[in-house]
Amino acid sequence: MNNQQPKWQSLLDWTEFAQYTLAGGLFTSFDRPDSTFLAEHFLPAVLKIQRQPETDRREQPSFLIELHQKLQALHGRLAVISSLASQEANGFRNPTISGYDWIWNSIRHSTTGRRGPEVQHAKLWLLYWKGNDDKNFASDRLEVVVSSANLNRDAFQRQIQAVCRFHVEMESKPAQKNLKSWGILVPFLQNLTSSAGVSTEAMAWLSRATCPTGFQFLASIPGKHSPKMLKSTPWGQAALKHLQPKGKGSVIATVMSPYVGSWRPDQLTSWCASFQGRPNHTRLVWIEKNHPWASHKFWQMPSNSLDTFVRSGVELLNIRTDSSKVCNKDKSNGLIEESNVAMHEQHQKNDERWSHAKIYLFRRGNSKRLFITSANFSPSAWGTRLADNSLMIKNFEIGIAIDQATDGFSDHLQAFEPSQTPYVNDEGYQIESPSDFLWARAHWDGKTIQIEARGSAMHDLQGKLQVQENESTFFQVITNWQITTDQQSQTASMEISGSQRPRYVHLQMKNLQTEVFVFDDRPEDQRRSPDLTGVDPKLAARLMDELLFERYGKLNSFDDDGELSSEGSDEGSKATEKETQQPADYTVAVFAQAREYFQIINNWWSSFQKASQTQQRAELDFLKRDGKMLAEAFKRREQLQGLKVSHAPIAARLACEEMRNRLTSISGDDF
Amino acid sequence: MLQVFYTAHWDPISVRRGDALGLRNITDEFAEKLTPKMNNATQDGRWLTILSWCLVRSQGLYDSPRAVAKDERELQQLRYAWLRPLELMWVARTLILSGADAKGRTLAGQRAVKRWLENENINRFGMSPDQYNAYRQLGMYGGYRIAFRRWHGMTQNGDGWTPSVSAYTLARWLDAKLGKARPPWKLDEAKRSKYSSSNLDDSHARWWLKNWKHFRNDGAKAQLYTLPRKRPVSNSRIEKLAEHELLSPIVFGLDEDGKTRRHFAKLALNSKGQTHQAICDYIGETGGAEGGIQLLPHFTRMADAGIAAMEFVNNALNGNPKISLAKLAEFPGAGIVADQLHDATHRWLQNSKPTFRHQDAADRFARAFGLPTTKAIFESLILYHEQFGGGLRWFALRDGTIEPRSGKNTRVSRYRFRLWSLCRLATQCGIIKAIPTGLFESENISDENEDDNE
Repeated sequence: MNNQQPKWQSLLDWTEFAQYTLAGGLFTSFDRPDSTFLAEHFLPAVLKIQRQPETDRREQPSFLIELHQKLQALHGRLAVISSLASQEANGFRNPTISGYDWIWNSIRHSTTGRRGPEVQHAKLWLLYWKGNDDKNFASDRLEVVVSSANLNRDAFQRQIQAVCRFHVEMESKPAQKNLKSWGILVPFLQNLTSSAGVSTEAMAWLSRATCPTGFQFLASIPGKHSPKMLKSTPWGQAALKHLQPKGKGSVIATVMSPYVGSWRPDQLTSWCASFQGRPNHTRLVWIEKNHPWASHKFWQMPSNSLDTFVRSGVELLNIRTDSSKVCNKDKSNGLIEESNVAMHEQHQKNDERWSHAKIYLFRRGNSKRLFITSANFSPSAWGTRLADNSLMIKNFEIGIAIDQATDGFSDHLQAFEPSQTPYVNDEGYQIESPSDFLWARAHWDGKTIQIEARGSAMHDLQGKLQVQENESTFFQVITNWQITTDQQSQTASMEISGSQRPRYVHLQMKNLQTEVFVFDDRPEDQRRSPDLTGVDPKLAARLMDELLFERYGKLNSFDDDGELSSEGSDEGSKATEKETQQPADYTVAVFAQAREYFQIINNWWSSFQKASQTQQRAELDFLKRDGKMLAEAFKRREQLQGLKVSHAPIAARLACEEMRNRLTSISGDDF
Repeated sequence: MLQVFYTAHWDPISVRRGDALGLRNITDEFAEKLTPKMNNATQDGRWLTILSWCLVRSQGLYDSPRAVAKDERELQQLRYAWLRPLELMWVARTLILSGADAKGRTLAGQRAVKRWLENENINRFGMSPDQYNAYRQLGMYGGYRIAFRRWHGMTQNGDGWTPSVSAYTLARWLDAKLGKARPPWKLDEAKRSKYSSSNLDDSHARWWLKNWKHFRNDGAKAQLYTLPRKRPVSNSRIEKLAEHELLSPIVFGLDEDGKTRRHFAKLALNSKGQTHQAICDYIGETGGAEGGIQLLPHFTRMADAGIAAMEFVNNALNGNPKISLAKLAEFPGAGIVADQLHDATHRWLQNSKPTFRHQDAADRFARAFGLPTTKAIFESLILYHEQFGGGLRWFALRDGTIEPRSGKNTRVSRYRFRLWSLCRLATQCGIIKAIPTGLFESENISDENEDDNE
């Protein structure tokens, strides 16, 4: 990465992984993930769902079923960790806002807070991609994305983010040396998942891949870290020494961050000293008070920090969006020319987005390092040195430093002139760790729902569970709270079974309240049927069968409108009408249908044999489950067709019998 | 490979926030009775002509990829890869030639295309990969694909892709009108190009941009004969298309669907209705006893009353974090809104006879209202919305308090039956002389294709 300029591209672009299937993922966000954004945009892109969420309604049911099935296939292997509800930027935001709540039955969502009021501000994605063509482990890949993007629509539509992304090949077996190569990322993830009270497969993925050279991770975790601890595991500003570019002399740092925390001169000096820098060798990219990014308080800096910067000699660089007026000096020919560039040559003047990127460029002579991170320029993110030289950090943060890369724009910026007033705002929010916090999680095994909660005032904890039963919903008050043996949490359990389904748990503690979705821990066969808002259950069942057939090679399950083609539909069946009107065609139709069904069976069988050769247990279990579902689907098809035309279901009946025979042959059980 | 980048523009796929009361399925059934084989986006006959031309022109480039396509879906994607650049070039052509007058024309993807026009080095006409991929469904062809599959003579065997007699007729007409903007080879001439395996890369677009350089060119009557038409805002702007004699047999032909569309377009105009309800009342009375048309007035009254009550709650919240149910019931006008809803549900239940596949959804909604008090009606409505509504929830009821769940600017989508689209097409084809006044104000005419951003 030599002097490479950052590109201008989409974060939702996974075309490079066209031949791969997502097999697991960990995603972190400060804000609570927006389920509508995830369901309509993020998941369709990463799961490669071809159908669209809603156009004129024709395709919506098949989209929902495809999404449901793909999430089911990944059940529990996608995890999202966000910050505590009480720490969200806009205060408490109730999660039950859309018809897509059901995605949380399959995706594990957790907030930090199980260990105390810890702020999760990192933006890290780990994606485990499984090769489609070659089932060998060697073809699997691990994708790592570090950025400034939260998991909501605004982050993608209204903000400019800085991103560092790469992927590496995964080895067939885990190795300790691989884990070690990821450096600080490993203890960071251990602490983050511990704080969220969630287990993920991330460590297993990392242990199968080696971190490439040429860059390194830097991270922060909340807590008071002693000098001794920081020596072995350098968090926050203690890690900045690793960012020093090669060479001698003072390091020049250029910082761009939309939120600037409250800095005292001693804190700033300490921060700069960490990388052999000095405040008067530090440049902060900032905006004027009439800048569009100031109008909605998108960017924030308190006045005391500006005072600190001015007194300490920090140079403020003026980033303008009316940059056509800014004249840049071209170093190669000495000419003065106008530029349309603010952050990039494709950054157009009418771009209404604001920069949420957090970028640090460290330079010493010709040597430089670019740091892309979630960490704002604040003591909360980087930590404050205490009297005993320990470091107090409030946030989880993660970033990647890249050798010899540049930010691509700060060299074009000019310093604030005396007539230009930097924007300051003392009312803006700070990401603080409040003393009051509330954390909870809940899961349901089909019989009992288990709830665990922790907060700053546990004696004031109240909770209720929303239950759905057929077409009505009601609340059940949670009464049997038990204090855990470590005295840190309370747990409760409730019996929910039969036609009842838990929806979410509402908890209140003093002025704090939160709602957590109940993770569906039932056995796979019990959670297969979707309960999707707006989709007729009968139609859902038929769509699921068609998608299953399609997975094993059936063509034309859906016409181009996304509607079920004639065979899968229970009304207006063109094929059946044709058969009824033209009995002479019947024989051919049945043979054609049987051939199609048996091709599906053969394709499934071929996949199963391939997985058997490589002894892939998870793959075999998955295929066995699909085999049972295929047999059931053929049975349903037989019943459906039998209702319409008495002789039509022969092909489906034969396919069902054949499928059962093959299942018996591999398991010895009767089906 | 390591990538460091800043995020490019992302114009999310526009998803309608309709179905607040879970009545969309039965609404679609009514729509299919009145305006068969259409969708809401099918409303400008000129786009039928343009897309026919695009299909014919791109057919020659569809270089037999059947040998390498994995399945039918992939085959369609490869076929579409040659069509999509043309759609977007037509959007670009319209933006260039109409300038400030582009507003009011349906131009899916125009935000991205405008960016591309400012800097043509941007890939995919300024779209992100997911947006470019989704353009197949949400772009111009996507809006008219049902017409190309289901309308007589548009595509061979209704495959939606291979142009047939009617599409060729329209394409020839437009090709002649393009004048100096016409591509430099004959309409029917097979044109071969190097096959590209990906439907998302830029090779197809590059080919078109290189070989149809004149797409920006004006002509003597380019505005009138070749560009998509502006949506009329009143009957003084109604226009009959120059190609109406070619379009009319396709849209309002002698096939059953064509006759049905013609019948209901005329009925809608004959109603002289000043409101959507009045038009539906007339259609319900005169549209025939079969097929459940007589239920249309009762259904639309109930659905409109439900949405009006939802809007009342939204307005009462007015961006506030919450409002108590009791306080809402005391708001001026609350009683009238609640009474109208109660009355409409009562009427529906009195007239409902099993006719539609999804009639149970309408019956269930009507039965959700018990006590006829204002407070009880709003309570039932909000609970019903949370449990059975589709898409974003507008608000939720918690311990007697209403809390907003989506922004106060939630776009209200009423339950409508494509009558606006039908009547606009009918005026363009010369079937009726005006669009019924009641449709100008009440239809969801700002369809998702006009502006691809919410």
